[in-house]
Amino acid sequence: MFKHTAIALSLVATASMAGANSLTVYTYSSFVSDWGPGPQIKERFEAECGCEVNFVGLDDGVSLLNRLRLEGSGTGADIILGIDDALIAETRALGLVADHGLDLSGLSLPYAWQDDAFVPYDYGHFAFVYDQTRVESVPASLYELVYESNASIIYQDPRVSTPGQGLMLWMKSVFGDEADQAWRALQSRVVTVTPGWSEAYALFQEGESDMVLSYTTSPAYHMTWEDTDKFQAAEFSEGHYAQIEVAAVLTTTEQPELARDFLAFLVSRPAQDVLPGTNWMWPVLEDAEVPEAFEQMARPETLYFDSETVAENRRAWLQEWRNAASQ
Amino acid sequence: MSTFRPSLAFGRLGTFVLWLTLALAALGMALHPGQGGGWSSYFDGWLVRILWFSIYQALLSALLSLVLAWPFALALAYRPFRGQWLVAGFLNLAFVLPVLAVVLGIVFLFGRQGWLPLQGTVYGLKGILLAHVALNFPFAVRLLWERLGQIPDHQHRLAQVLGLNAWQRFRRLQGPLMAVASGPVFVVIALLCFSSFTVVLTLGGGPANTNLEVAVFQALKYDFDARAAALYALIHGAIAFTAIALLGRGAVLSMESAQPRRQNARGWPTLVQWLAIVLLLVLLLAPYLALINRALAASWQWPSRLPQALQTSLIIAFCSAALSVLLALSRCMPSIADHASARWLNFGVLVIPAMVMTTGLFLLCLRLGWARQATWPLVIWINALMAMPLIVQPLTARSQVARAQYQRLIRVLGFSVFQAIRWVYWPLLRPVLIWALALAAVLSLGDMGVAALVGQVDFVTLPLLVFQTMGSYQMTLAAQIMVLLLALCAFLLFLAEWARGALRA
Amino acid sequence: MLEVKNVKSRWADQPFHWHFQVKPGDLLAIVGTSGVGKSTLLNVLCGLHKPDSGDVQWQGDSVMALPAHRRPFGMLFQSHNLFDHLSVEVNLALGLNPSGRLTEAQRQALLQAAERFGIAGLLTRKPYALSGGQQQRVALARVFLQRKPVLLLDEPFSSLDPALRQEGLDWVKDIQTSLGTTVLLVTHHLDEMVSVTDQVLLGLNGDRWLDLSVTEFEARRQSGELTVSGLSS
Repeated sequence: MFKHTAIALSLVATASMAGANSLTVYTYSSFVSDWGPGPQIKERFEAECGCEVNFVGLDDGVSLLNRLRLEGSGTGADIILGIDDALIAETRALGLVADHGLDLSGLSLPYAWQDDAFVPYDYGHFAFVYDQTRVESVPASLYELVYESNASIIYQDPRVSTPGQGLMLWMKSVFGDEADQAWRALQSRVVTVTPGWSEAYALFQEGESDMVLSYTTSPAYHMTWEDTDKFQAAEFSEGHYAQIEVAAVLTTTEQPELARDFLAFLVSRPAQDVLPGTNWMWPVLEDAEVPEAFEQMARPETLYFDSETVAENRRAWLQEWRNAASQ
Repeated sequence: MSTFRPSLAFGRLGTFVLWLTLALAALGMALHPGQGGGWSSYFDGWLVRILWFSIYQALLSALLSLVLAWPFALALAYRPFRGQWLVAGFLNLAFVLPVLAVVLGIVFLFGRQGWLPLQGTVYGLKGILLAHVALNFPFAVRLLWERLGQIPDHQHRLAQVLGLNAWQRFRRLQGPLMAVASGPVFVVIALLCFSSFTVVLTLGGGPANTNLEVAVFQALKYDFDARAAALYALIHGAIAFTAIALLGRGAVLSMESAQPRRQNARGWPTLVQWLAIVLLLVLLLAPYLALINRALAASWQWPSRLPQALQTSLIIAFCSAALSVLLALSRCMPSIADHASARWLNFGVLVIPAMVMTTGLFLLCLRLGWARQATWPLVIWINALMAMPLIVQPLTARSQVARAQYQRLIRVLGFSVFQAIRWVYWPLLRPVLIWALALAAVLSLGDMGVAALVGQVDFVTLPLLVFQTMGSYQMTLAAQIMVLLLALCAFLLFLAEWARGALRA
Repeated sequence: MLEVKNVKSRWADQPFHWHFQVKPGDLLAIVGTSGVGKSTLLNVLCGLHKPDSGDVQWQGDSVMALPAHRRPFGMLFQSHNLFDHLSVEVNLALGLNPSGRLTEAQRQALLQAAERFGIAGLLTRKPYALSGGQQQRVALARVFLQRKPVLLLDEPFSSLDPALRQEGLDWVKDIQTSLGTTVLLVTHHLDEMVSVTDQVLLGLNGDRWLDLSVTEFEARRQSGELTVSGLSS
């Protein structure tokens, strides 16, 4: 989930894309931006299958789910790509995802994976990124960040953005029933809550805040492309909430075979080699190529909720956040 | 009136369509797809917060606009002057042009890289207030000015004879009138700011600054919670109507006549008036100048989605303008326009928060599974509805004059409906029709709220493109697209004025 | 013969009642205070107002069932007799055919009428660019072209100065004598036209009208038996 200028202004129009030999993939917009993984993955898969891949970039992960809800069985998509593990149960409940029929046992993931419909293609851990030339005392835990630090932060709206939702789940897994108080304690140092990841990161880079919610792998981008290590991800002692990004075939597709081929391709080397250096997330294949800077990235303890728990509580937790964050 | 029956049918069709729309919106609210929690779960701290913020920012915006407007209204109304219609026209500008232009202007004026950077950030309550004042204080100036202009001449002469100085005159003449006039103006502006969407969405900067309209939007777009959207929209509508009831009828109707009156000017403005005019123009134009300045700061870049956005915007503007004019025409049919109920219905359409109506219709489409297909028709139709009350008056006035003058002759000469339109109504109404078309198109071009609420991600209009570009903090690019949009609006407004002036003969 | 038989109407809460006859080719002057119903009478005759009861006949045939433009009446109002935004020529043509399309014969008639009323040089002009006198001649030329046997004139010249009013009257007289037209004319200036009037209809009240020959009218007025308000000399 990494890119510099937020909205990909080069979206593919959705009109009439159900060509005989083409796949329509709903994803989030940074995936299909020029510097995202989209273009290379499209090119590599098209060379293999002799078909056409059309990415449709939507705002952010949660919007994907809303879009599917809106369109229901009339959806124009063959595949959704970019939902995260937390939203799986809610997405499945729409009754629109088909079994992938793949063997996923060889994949390397932060926690054991078993799912008939959703194929994980990369993962990461959320983290607060800071500029070490500006921030002197770096909190060593989420608790410190919330109750003891004086660092200003920017994060994303949990209602639309998967990182924002990730923070909400992170808070919940660390503070449990006291998450409400934690949100209130944090509130005074929140510069703003942005609708998406890229807005937050852009503001942070302009110096609007000391820390921003991103991923443990974010510093690798700056090391690789800007040759600087001044951006660091703070390691928290409670562990870091994990995000696994997944893709699934929709039952409405007229080309289930081709769609399944695409999912298989997604967890094969050609695609996995592309993802780390463009999406700045960890690959699910152990032996995939990663940028050199990844070696220096922390591999923190994993925190997660299973998606049924998230589906059950998401609304209540969102309300809790909303009430606390709007004070 | 036996020879002009089709007018009755046409007029009734318009009334029917209006009522149908309102009824369908209400139906949509009632039948909303029932996602979300139990009703009681919505009455929480969040609802209290957004209610409080909606009202608080609206009252504050209205108060600031009013206070700022007082000195200008006093100075301008001191005595009529040559060219005052031009100043009055300028005061309408901010009302007609895209709201996003003012929002961007405020960011460029008061943002971190602006001409007058604010302490802290422009996003939040400060930015919202600044934008609301920039949008509404010219409107307040115009209303107060008009009101003060109604002081009869003989009272001014009397004051002169009595040798009252400026202060005494203010105390005896303008002061009391201002006090009376300020109440309704305050309520109207508070109502407009209460229903503000674009400003709060773009400048709010987080969940702490959310009003009901934005909450409706977020409920639909973020939470996919139709029940919350319906609830917030209903609360919104209820509060808005309470405010209108508080206001009474006459005061708001003055909003309808959004046209400068051309008075017989006697002399040039006094020194104080000149000062007021210059200062007013500086205040009015500053956001636009800042915007243009920023747009010119870098070489022009057109995003690849621009042609699509431009095309969508133009098609929607054209269709909704045409529909709006048709609807307005149906409202000025003789059998309809004479009824008080017709004026009430027009007025109702004017003050029903557009987002409430949009939400109702959109929920209905969701329920029926037409949400995707309905985007274009909904955006076009709601924009047409919103523009209708603003163009119906000049059309009604013109067609009533035409009817009063020529209806007898039309009957004595035995014209058919078609012949009456061809020989009389079309040539006489044409200038006003072109004006109305252009104005409705400008209003529709500038709309963001409806398109944002109804449109899906692949639906992009010029204001939406500006909004998305702003969202990624590409402010220069946003400014450039906005300048393009403003140029379009300026062209259309120019066309409108030309039509009214040149074609009149 | 024009026969107005017990025509009753209510207009603005006032009852009206008319009963009189006019001989073909005569000129009837309709006088009385304003509000007495002079314009209402003409509007009823020409079909703009539907009366409650009574009958209007021309040459023995009732006209009540006919729409305004099919009645044998040509009408000129106090104002707005011409479409200001249409050329003189179109204004004239519309009197002959509401579609504006004319046969060759109609075109010739139009040109001759324009010639006759001295407006041939004005055909392409718009009425608002004409003088008051020119406008009244265009309006008269149109009713002349229509060849209606009865002309209803609702003070069409009242806003003009006396000289122009006189000119207008001369044109009416000209039409009356050349075509044998019957003329009903509402006026506030009876004294200026006693010489051309055959008959006077004097409204005392909405439902009280005196129908007198002009000599009788003059005699009773001289004797002081009648004081007619609303008339200026």
